[in-house]
Formats: sequence, C-alpha cells, structure tokens
Amino acid sequence: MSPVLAIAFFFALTVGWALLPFLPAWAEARRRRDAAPLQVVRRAEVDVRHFARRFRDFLAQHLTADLDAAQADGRSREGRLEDGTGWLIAGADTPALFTAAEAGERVSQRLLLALGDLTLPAEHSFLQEVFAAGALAGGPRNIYRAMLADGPIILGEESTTLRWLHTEDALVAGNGCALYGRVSAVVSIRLGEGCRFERLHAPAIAFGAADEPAETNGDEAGGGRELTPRDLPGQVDFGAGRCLVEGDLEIEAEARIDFDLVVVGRLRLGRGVRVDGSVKCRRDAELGPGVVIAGSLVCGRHLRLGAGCRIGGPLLAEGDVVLGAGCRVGGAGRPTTLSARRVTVAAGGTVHGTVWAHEGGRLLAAGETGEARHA
Amino acid sequence: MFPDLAIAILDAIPRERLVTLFALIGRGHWLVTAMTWALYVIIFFVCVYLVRHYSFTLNRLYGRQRHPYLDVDEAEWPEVTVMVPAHNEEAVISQILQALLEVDYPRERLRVMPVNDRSDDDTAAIIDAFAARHPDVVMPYERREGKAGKAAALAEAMAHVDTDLILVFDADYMPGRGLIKQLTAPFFDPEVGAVMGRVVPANVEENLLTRLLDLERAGGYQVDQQARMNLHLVPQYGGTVGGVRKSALMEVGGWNTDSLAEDTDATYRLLLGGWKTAYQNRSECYELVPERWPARVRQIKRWAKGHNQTMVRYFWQLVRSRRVGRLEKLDGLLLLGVYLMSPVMLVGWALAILLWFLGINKPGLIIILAVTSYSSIGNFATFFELATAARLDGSRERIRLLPFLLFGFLVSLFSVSRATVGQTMPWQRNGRLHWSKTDHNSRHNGRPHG
Repeated sequence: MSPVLAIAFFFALTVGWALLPFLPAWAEARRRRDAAPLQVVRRAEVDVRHFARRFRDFLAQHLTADLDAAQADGRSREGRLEDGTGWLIAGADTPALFTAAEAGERVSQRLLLALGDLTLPAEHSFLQEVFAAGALAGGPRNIYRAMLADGPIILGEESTTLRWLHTEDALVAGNGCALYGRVSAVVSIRLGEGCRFERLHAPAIAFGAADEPAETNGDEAGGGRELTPRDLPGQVDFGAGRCLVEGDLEIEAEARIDFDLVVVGRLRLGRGVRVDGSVKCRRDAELGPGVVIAGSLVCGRHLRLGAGCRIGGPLLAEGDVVLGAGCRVGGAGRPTTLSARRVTVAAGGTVHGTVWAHEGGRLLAAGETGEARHA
Repeated sequence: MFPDLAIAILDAIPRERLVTLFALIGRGHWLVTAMTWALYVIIFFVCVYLVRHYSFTLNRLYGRQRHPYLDVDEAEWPEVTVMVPAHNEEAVISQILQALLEVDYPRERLRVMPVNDRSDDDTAAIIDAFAARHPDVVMPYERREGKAGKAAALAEAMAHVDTDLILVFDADYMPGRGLIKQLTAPFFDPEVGAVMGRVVPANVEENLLTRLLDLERAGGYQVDQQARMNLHLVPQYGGTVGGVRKSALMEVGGWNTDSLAEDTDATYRLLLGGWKTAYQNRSECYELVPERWPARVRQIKRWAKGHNQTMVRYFWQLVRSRRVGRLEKLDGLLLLGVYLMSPVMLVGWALAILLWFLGINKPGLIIILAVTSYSSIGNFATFFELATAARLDGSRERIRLLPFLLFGFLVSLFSVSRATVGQTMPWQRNGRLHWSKTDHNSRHNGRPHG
C-alpha cells in the first residue's frame, strides 16, 4: 500500500469513527420518533381516588348495559370481558358468588359487582375487583385485589387489600388488617389494632377502637412562660416572623411561643409546650405529651410525638414518625397531610386528611410501644 | 485555507526573529512556567466541576430521592398571589390567565396579578377584560413607566401584594391544574424562602434547536436541580414556575432591580439570610423555548451576564458566611462559577495548544482537558446528565440526538465567553442595564403539540 493511500485510509477511518454517533442522531432528527413534549399531568400520583375513578369509568365503558338490565329486573348476570376475565353481577336473587371450582379453592377469579349490599365469606381470595352499590362486608382473613363500595365497607380481622380500596361512606378495618396501596373513604376510616397501611385518605382517620378524642382548642397547653427569641439558647437569628436556631434546642415544659421556629440541630419540646406558628427541625425531634403546634411540623429525620399532641398540619418527616396515644393531626373541617417514611401510631390517634407512610405504617397492638427506627 | 494563511503569516515574519521568539519562549522561561501552571489550575477547576456533575448524576441514579413536600394534597391552603409579568404578551397572556382561573386551589385564597409592564400592544386590554369578568380573583397591576426588566416590574407590583406567598409565572407558561398547590406546599416548611418547579419545553418538535434545548432543560432540572435538592445543596430559584415568601425576600432586600438575573440574585440573598430554596421536580410546567439560534444566543448571553453579576456580588459574602453549611457553600460557589467556566475553558484550550507548539507536552495534559471538557461544558448540564435525564424521563429515543448537542454547547461556550469577557470591559461595567426579552413564537401558545 502506498503511503498516500495509507494516510487517506487512516484519515477516512478517523472521520468515519468520529461521525459514527451522528448516524443514529441524524436518523432520530429525521424520523422524530421521540419528539413529543414530556407528559406532565400525573393524576395517578396526586389523586388518592384515581384508581377508584378509573374503575368506575371501566364499568361504565364495558358493563353499563348489563348493570342497567340487572338493575331493572333485579336478576343476576354473568359473562366474560373481551380479555376473558369473568364477571358476576349479583342482583336481588342472591346468586352463588363462586363457581364450583372457585368454591373448592376458596379463590374468586371473577369481577364481583353487587347492586345492593354484599357480604363475603371468610378466608377467601378475590383476585379481581369487588364492587357493591350498598354496604360491603368481608369475613376475616380475606385477601382482596381492590374494593369499591357506595356504602360502608367493613373488613374482617386480618384481611388484606392489595391495590386500592374506596368507599363513598365509612371504612372499618378489623384488627390486624393489611391495607396496601391507596385506601380512601368519603366519611371516615377506623383501623383496628395491629393494622398496617400505606396511604389513607378520609376526613377523619381514627386509629384504634377508642372514641375519637373530643375537639379541644389546646388551651391547656402553653400555660407557662411566654418565650421570645432572646430566651432561646444558642445562636439565634430572628426575622420575617421566623426564629432560626443553630444547634440543638430544648424548650421547657408549658412554654408558649408565638413565632415560627427553625432548628438546625435536634429539637425537644417539653410537656404542654404551645407553638402558635410552624416548626421545622433538620434533625430528630421529640415532642412531649400534650404539645400543641398550631401550624405545620416539618422534620428532616425522625419524629416522636408524646401522648395527646395536637398538630395543625401538615406534618412532614423524611424519617420515621411515632404518634403517641390520642395524638391529633389536623382537625374536623381542617384536613391536612401526614407524610413520613414509616408511621407508627398508638391507639387513640386521629388524623384528618391524608396519611402517607412510604415504607409502611402500623397501628400498635394493645400493650405495644412504638420506636422510631433510626436506620 | 487555514494552513495557507498560517504559512503566509509565518513567512511574513523574518526567519531570524522567529528563531529568537522560540528561543526566548522556550523551556524554563518564566512565561512558559506561568502558562503551564495556569493550565494546571484550569484543569483542576474543570476536574472539580467534573466530580460535581458525576456526583449529581450518580445521586440521581442510585441515591435517596427527596420529595419532602410532594405528598401534601390536603392542607389549610394559605393565601397566595400569582404574579404574571407581561411585556407585549398579547399572543399568550389570555392562555395563562385562563389556565390560572382553572387551577385546583381555593378560589377565595387565590389572587392572580397580571403585571402589564409598559406594553404597547393589546396586553392591557386582554388583562382588563379578564379582570372585569373575574374581579374576585384577577387583580391587575399596570406599569406605564420606570426601569426596564422583570425584576423592576416585580419589585413595583409586589408593593401591592397583600399575601405572604407569591408565585411567579412568565406569560408564555401554561400551569396545570394542580401546580399552584404543589408550588405552595413547600412553604408549609418555615425554613423555605423560595420554591422552584420544573420547566418542560412545549414546542419540542419545532426544530433541532428546540429538541436540543429540551434535552438541556431535562438535564438541568431532572438531574442537576433534583440532585442538589437530594443532597441539601443549593437548588436555584429560576424566576418562573416558582415563588418566594414575600416576608423573607423583603428581609433580605426585595427584588434586585439592578440584576439581569433577579432569580439567581434572590436565591443567593435568601441563602445568605438563612432561607432555603426548595425544588419540586414533579411540579412541571410547559414553556416555549427559543426556536431560532439568534434568540437562543441572546437568551444565554443575558443569563450569563446576570449570573456573573450575582457571582461578583455574593462570592465573598458566601465565602465568609457562617450561616451556610460547608457543602452548601461549596456548591453555592461552584454554581456561581458555572458561566465563568466557558471562557476559562477556552483559555485552557488556548494554553494547551500553545504549550504543545512550544514543545511543553506534559504527559496527558491535553487528554485530561479533552476528557474533562467533554464532561464539563454546557450551561445547564453535561452530556451524561442529559443522557441520565432522558433515561429518568423514559425518553429513550431522543437520547440519540446527544451528539448534536456538541454544536449547541459550542454555541453556548462562545456566546457565554463573549458575554462574560464583554462584562469585564470598562465601558460595559458602568453602562446601563440592557434587558433583552426572549423572543417567543406565539403559534403554540404554551400548549404542547400532540
């Protein structure tokens, strides 16, 4: 090979190698296979009732005629969807909910749609959605894929919902239930002892069988000394209605604070402290019994609330949250959000609004004490 | 062409002088030593930015993701004012006002304040019509004279705002229904002084430039901003699709009307004042990106100048600050220097080539510069950040356009360098502030295609 040819070959090879990445680039620029703007509306992420709404849309799209006919004559119907999934519309004639094979295996493979109330036996699995136009009651130790009811839903002890549950009325979950995915109720939710949950939404979510504590205005808290920013130890900066404290902070019992508080270190609020503002703590925070915070409570790590605390909300923690007995977050007519990595609640607590436990939440059983897991 | 020219120039220099020149500037000459050390320093800084960008990218791929305010869907929502500065925006102003009237937010707690900033088109008439139809929500502010620029308009209008929370949208943006709640939620944290959402181009499919800008924006927000949020560093308030706590901003001096980047300026003053900027990656809003290169060049030059102004103002304040944490401070300083890196990089290349021709070929210097330049240039994010952003967004095909970004980055490199060098000229330093509004194509009206 002549030197000129070798140089030309080397040059061509180099140019070709450099231009190689431009081939797929040029092809994409010409074909525009991925030129649409990024889709930004994610209703599934923000709407707790998203799946319930989609299921209603699904029923309206595929089974309206059969549901209307069953409604008109009161008789049950069954059939299959285009993908082969079976369905049963239970009318007033109280049909058998299971085929022979299903009854033997104690597993329902069909969509169950009841035009009125629906009562389900114990220790069965329901692999498709269950809907009731009236009340829906399930026996103990059942497993559900998803549930929807226009009336109240009562879950037997140790039942499990895998994806979502929604009722236009109230939900009562027996002891030891596991509620995975989204659970929402238009009126209220009450969880029995030992229940596990992920995302709950209702105007009132009661943890445990005890009655919801009466509404109080928190007057019993903050009966002691009123603190000003100058009373706080450490390096303190005050401006725009907010007090910034470098380092850890401990507030004496029964003290009263009427400004927003930001603590860079750890925070400890004594028994009965009242804050007429919001509180932020970048590290761990511990609230004594009966603490009242009128505004929000934000914690960068783990948060522990003593018994009977009242938080106006929202309550946000990037670590774990432990709610003591009888704590209340939000208020009647003032729904708010509790969000944390893990949430542990002692019996008697109430949250008005939404609870999000990203890695799971748990209502303590009788005699159990909650510990924030400092992983 | 170029070799001919070079040979002609060398021929024009007398042979004996050329020999003397190379003999003088040879090994061991103080000038060569200085140039070598300058190159080392430049490569060091480029490597620092390289590490920073890799840290961000790895954090986004494998680190813990922080979205501390995303879950707030129920709350006692505070009163908020949404300001829409508008200078000759007749083509788009009605779209955003209509969108704001349809948002999911308690109507009695929402005020929409279009700020008609010296418009001489039909912007005022359109705003007045909205105000007449929705007097309970739309409360316009008219500005007929005064200093040019968004910061001046915001500063003047803010005096008439009676809520503590203010959100700001440019007129060509299209907020979704849930966006106001999402951007308001971080203010429940009393440490948050500003909030920033994610900007998503709507006119992506217009041409290659818009597609490249879409990739750049994705890298800047999806990776860079979110990583800074994850790592408790310094997310940046971007002036639109975001907001400020009025009391906090006033405490640190209000909007700086002398700045070309009032958003970056506010970010740093809030940081120095002990306030945080929260970034909400899932609070997305469509925008129109420039569709022509001249508009793009003007935009990035304005950003560069404004950012450099902020660097000069706050660099030493940030260095001396005792309130800002060490990592936060380091990130804040590096963020201040991002636009300065363009001319620095060009100087680095010039030095490397010059030293090579002088026979000072330190092992690997040019290779290090080449590799690190590849990973450091770009005004928003680097190549691997863009690729990561495309992956996180699930936009697998558009990642193929990555090689074309080389041209976009070169344009940015020279535009930013020119703007930065120009700022240092004595006749520029004391000159009047020149505000150049970014041109938008009104055909899309902020709505995405398809």
